Amino acid sequence: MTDEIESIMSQAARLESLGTVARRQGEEVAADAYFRDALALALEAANQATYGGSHPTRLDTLRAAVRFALDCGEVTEARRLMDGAFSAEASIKFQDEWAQLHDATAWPDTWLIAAVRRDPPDVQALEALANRYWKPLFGRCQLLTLNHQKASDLAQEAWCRVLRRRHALKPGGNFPAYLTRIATNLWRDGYRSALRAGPMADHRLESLDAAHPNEDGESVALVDRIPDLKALSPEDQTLLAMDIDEALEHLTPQLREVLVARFITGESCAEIGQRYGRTEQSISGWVRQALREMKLHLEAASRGAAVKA
Amino acid sequence: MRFVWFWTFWHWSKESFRGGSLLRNPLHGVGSHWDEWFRHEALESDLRAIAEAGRTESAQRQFIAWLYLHWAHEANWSGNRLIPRFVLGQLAPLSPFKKWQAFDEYRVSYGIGGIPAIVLTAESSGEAEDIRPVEALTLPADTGPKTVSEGFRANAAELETPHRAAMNVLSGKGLLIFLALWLVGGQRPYPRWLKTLLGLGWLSASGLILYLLVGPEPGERLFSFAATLTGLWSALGIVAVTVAVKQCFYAWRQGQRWSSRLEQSQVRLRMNGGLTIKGGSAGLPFCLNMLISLFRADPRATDRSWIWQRLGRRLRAETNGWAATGVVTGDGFLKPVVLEPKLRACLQHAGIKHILTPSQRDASRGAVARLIHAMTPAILKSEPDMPTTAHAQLGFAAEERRLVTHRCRHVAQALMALGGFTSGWQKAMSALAVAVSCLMLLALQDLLCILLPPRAPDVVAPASPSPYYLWVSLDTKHPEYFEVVLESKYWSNRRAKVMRYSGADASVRAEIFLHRLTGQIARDGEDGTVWIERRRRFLTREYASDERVGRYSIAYLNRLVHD
Amino acid sequence: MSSKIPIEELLRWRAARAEAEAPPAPRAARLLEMARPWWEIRPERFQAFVERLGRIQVACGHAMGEPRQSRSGHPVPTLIVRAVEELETSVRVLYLNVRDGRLRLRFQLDAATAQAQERFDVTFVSDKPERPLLSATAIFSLDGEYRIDTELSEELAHGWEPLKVTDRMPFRLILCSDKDGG
Repeated sequence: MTDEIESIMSQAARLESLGTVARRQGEEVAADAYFRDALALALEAANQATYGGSHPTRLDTLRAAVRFALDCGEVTEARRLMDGAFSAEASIKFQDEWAQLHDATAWPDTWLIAAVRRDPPDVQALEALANRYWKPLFGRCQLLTLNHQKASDLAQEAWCRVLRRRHALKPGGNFPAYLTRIATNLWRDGYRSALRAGPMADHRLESLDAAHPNEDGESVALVDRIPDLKALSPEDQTLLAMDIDEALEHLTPQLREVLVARFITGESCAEIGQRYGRTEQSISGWVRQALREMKLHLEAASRGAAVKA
Repeated sequence: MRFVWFWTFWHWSKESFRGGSLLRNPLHGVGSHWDEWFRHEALESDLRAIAEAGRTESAQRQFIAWLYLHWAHEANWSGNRLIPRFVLGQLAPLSPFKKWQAFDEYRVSYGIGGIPAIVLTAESSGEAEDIRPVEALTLPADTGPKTVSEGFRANAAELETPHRAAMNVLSGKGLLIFLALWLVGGQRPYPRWLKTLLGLGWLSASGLILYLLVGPEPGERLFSFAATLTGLWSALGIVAVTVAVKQCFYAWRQGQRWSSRLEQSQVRLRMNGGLTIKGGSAGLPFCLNMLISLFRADPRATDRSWIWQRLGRRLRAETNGWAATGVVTGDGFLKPVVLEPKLRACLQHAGIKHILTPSQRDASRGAVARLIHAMTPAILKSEPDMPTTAHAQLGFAAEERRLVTHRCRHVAQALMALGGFTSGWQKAMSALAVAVSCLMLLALQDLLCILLPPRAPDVVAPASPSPYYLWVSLDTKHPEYFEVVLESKYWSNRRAKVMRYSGADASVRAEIFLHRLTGQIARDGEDGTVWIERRRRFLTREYASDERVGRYSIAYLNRLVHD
Repeated sequence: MSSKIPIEELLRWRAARAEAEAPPAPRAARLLEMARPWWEIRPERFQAFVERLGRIQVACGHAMGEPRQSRSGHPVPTLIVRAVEELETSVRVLYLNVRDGRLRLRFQLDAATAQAQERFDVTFVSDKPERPLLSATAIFSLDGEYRIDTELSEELAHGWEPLKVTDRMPFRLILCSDKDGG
């Protein structure tokens, strides 16, 4: 690599670092600017390499340029550059670095989100992003709605909301958490308007704030015939799933949501408390209450199964 | 400085209003402004402080007390006691206050109380639930309508007309009617001893009048009686007129002030239930509650006016047992409504003892009694297995249910009833005073002539042109208080009244027909003396005259020039 | 032999099972289609609404002629679209704040017109030319008031930042109360 090209590329690398830092801090406008500047430098370097540098140097600069383009969401430009590189050297297509760049499903979230934010959004990137997070999202929606069809509808609606606000997406953010939050809010809004004075009523929340004894209510004793979840037959799995769904259905929507947020999404009680405007202790109490109720219902279900057996 | 966060919110609201972000002023929009500020503008430190203030019910109540005692004063709302209640009522359903137990009472009511309206739902035939509590708040005017409904829907006319009626009662013809009613039969601001004394005074005056009219001849005591009567009546009249004029003046002045305040205010009428009002039968309770809101906003404003003070006190303290119904016009007159289901609703509501209605036949005592009687079998029928004695007791208890109807043609009458002004004793005293005063006015001249007799008149021309008559012309303006007596040995003694004659020989004179005594042969036609006597009268009664104020001979009289 | 299984484990197992049973992810094209604003999906319906919106005359009286009286605000012509009816009305903007690319707006709807609707999908339509500006959700707050909290594009944020509630709004509104209405 000539000195000049090297100098340009080191400048581009610095810009890339700055962009990464800005992105991490949520300053997307600044990050985008840094990546674009880096892209421009990389393209200049690639140009110089075409006319004055070596072939490998050119490929390196092109590879860097593709990365920068993907960083700022310019997928079309990235593909054009890749096509250019592949036409110059077809064998690089199968190299790991180039394969990762070429295959949208291998892109990190930042590149996918950057591509989806654009107008028009990149369809392949969107496809990869949707496939990546569809199942986890669906799983959470299933635990909230306890209904396969409703879970599918909720998950799709969450995606629609995300796409309508895609310009505000932050490539450096926690996309799966954001997606889950959108879905949860949608579910909560839908439930609230359907049952205004029912389980969503605030007095129910207040009764949960009563002090709970700090007991171990987090485990349930099942009967002997279920020693290990992995060893269950398909039929038993179905039955167990139904029991869990029934136990979840007996919880108030808030408790259910709190339980899912705590143990499936992995939010802490403090983070959940911030959403509800409650203290960490309150949420901790709710979690214990929810587990207690789950325990009661599951044990009752398991005793019923034992009697039938 | 406590509760800084609320000041932060308040200043944000004021600045945003000034800056054009908020349309409504900070007070009228306090609820929605708080919602915005709490959601988006409050800092972490504010939120923590708010959470701390809501941590316990005691802390919450401290905030409420602070709002009443300090914020209202420092925000310059101390002239209207209802504003803190309004603010609390607006904040109560919003986060975080909707979770504060101390705000429970403000979620359904401003805590003001008022006169309930009777609003029937479409399928109701008159149930206790149809008695709907109404509250009214007066706030400084906003750019919106003068009257705003909360918790129910009504068209503009159904709110404007009671407003106009209230204005009318405060400063228009309605006030005149109210004061007239009060003058005729309203309680006076006298202490009991003075009331008794004045009553005795009027009775004494009437007694004196009767004595002077039909009693024995007073003789020399006439002057004392007349003086006593005149003095007593004057004193009573001065007291009565002074009190009446003073109270009417203060009431008018305060009414003007309130009218002006109402004009510059927005009234918020609250009636929970989400009803849509059709027809104006809630007009009367709305009008009365608007007046109550003025009294409550500044109770001390009534200090100079005993009438408004009493009314305000009664309205603030004793509206619980009252209900009202009636279509009200802008002039304050009441129009009839369908009454029976409303009376039924009142009878089924244990708390209602009085109802204000328009003046219509089916609000009479008899109609209510018949309704109670008609409702009793329904109670008995619902308990067929009860023993007879219990039936009788139940029937008796049902019959004992009382509802006093106050029929009114005008809002002023409703105010008289609510204020407990109407007094049978005062009506009787007023009637007596009017009767006594009328008689006294009629007899005033007579009394004056008794107390300050007119000067003795001189005899003047003309004399009679006829030899058969003797004219005694007097220079007096009060002929009715003199008479002439002829005493003669030649002529028949005669007594003649002095009268005013018009025509060619116009004069004030007594004409005596000269009649020669029989058996008189001497030609002494000028024998005789004419006495001028004073007449003392009181209305239709004439007292014995014993005061002679002039003496003239017939010869003198005959020599007067005939004009 | 009994074993204690934590409930968390059961929940995670259930979630994993749900993930395994999940239907295939919708295609990106389908998601994009679903996410398209309704006025792109049904342009003729949008045009019909816009025409109707343009015909709404709001009587402001002398408030329009006298700046001193504009504290009552300028009513914003509004079309409410429900499954069974469409209502021409107006709303009063009570609060307007554009900051950091976000629009916070509160408007008041007549209680009878609102019919206790919990939320509306709101489409902002510019006055002239009549084109859709943005779509947002208005959530019921209290007493016939609805609030909107949404992001604005740079262009709109720049244009609306100086707006005051007393100004005439550079938009009209279409409120949809259910999916069919939009």
